[in-house]
Amino acid sequence: MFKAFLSLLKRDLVMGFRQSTDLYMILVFFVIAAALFPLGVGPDPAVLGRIASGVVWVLALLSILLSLDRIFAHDYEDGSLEVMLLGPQPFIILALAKTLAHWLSATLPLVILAPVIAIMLNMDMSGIPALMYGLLLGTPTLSLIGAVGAALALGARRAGLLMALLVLPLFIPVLIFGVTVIDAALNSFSIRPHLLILAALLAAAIPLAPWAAAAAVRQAVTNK
Amino acid sequence: MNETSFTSFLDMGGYAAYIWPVYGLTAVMMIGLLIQSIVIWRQNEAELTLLKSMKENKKKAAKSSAASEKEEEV
Amino acid sequence: MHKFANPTKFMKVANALFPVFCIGFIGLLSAGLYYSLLNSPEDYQQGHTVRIMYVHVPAAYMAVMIYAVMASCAASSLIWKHPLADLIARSSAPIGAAFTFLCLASGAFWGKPMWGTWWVWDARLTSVLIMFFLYMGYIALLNAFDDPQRGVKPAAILALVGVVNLPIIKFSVDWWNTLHQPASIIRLDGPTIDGGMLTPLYIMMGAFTLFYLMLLVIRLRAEFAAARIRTIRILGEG
Repeated sequence: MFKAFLSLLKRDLVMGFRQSTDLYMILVFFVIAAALFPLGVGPDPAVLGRIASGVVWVLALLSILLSLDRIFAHDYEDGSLEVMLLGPQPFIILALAKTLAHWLSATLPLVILAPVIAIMLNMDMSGIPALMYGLLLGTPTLSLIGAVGAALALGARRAGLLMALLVLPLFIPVLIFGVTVIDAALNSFSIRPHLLILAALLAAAIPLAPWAAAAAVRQAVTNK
Repeated sequence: MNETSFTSFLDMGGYAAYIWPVYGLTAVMMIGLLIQSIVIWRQNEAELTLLKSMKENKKKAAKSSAASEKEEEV
Repeated sequence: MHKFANPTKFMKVANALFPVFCIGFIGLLSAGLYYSLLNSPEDYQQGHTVRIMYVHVPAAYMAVMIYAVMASCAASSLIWKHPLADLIARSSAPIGAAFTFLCLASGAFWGKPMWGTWWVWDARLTSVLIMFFLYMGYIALLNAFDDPQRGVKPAAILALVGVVNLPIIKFSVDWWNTLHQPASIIRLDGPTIDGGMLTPLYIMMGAFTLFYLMLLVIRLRAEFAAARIRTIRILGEG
């Protein structure tokens, strides 16, 4: 079972990097959208510094949203999902592998780019480690929730728009606690309790989200 | 109910601008939901009776055409 | 219980109860309006604005209750494949969404004079807003497929995922100390609000519940008619 998990993870990663233009476009979107904020709210460093934590997190959410269709949509269209469902491994494990592959290939680059954008938006340096810890703990939860949304929207009209509608409300708790981590660090409070909440969200999402995603994929494939 | 108590009722201790819109919105929402539900129900029932009568007519038409064909054969 | 799983028998019972719902609703609504607008005490802090509570709290109760009904129907439609459960869930969603909106809007009209702002991003308000989005997502997902039956299962799964939000709504006022006041009706040591306010509140809750049941019967009739239209279409074309 673990072997199947690893081989699917490897396959999805290879596929993900083969379509690296997708990834490149998402990263560019992240940067361009961030550049809109200084132009929109004005270049005052004090104002930018105050909104930087929220802006980076919100843009990370939106960028993740753009890559969600990579998790299941291709395999749904070319029929690979049917083969995986017929296989001996429980599909929950495979859904988890696909989600992990999505996180490694599409989300981790965003996390690495995030401090650059935070600095561009004049975030105080004391907030940067908190931003990174928060993103590292929070974005896997986002990928897991996103996988559920991606699975639910399989085969729908305007699937991308629908996915945003389904997934964004569920992203809100992660956003709230992700930003409070940074605020705590900027006001020199302990960031531990906020990180623990993010960890708890992740711990709850790891078993629940692949289960819901697997159920959604199964019905999508059988009703295709 | 005399005039002053009625105006004081409408005034709601100075909060009329907040209280009456809430009750108005509630009324609008409830009536709207009710009308919408009834309209959908009526539409579906009308379509259903139409489809049923079409089915009946088809059957009758099939029967009568079969009958007329027989007559022609005779 | 399994007697009600049969749709025709269920509708027979529902149709028989329908006049009871209607008369009960009109009776309770008139009593509720009389008490809430004319015959209830002013709050010593909030004055007349407390009258907004008689819409706000029942609407909030309906929003959560209808979501719970929808989610349990979604669960039974996924597990036991009850066609009836699915119809109840899909008929309830727009009603629940409307009550959630009413709860948020009436809260805004109450917040403006009392807190000095229409809206705050406090935990209770935000979690109710998320519930409103979940209702919207449920309805959107249900109608997102070319085959109308295809949306049933994904929507049911979404409704179940959204159940996570219900305890957050309930406990948000206890976990985070924010503007929204803590629970005052449903608590272990009994309600903490004045009896003169409790009467209109309970009556309005009853009226809203009967209104929901009334609409549910009408919408179920529409859904059954739609189901029969579908079968006739399929048989007619086949």
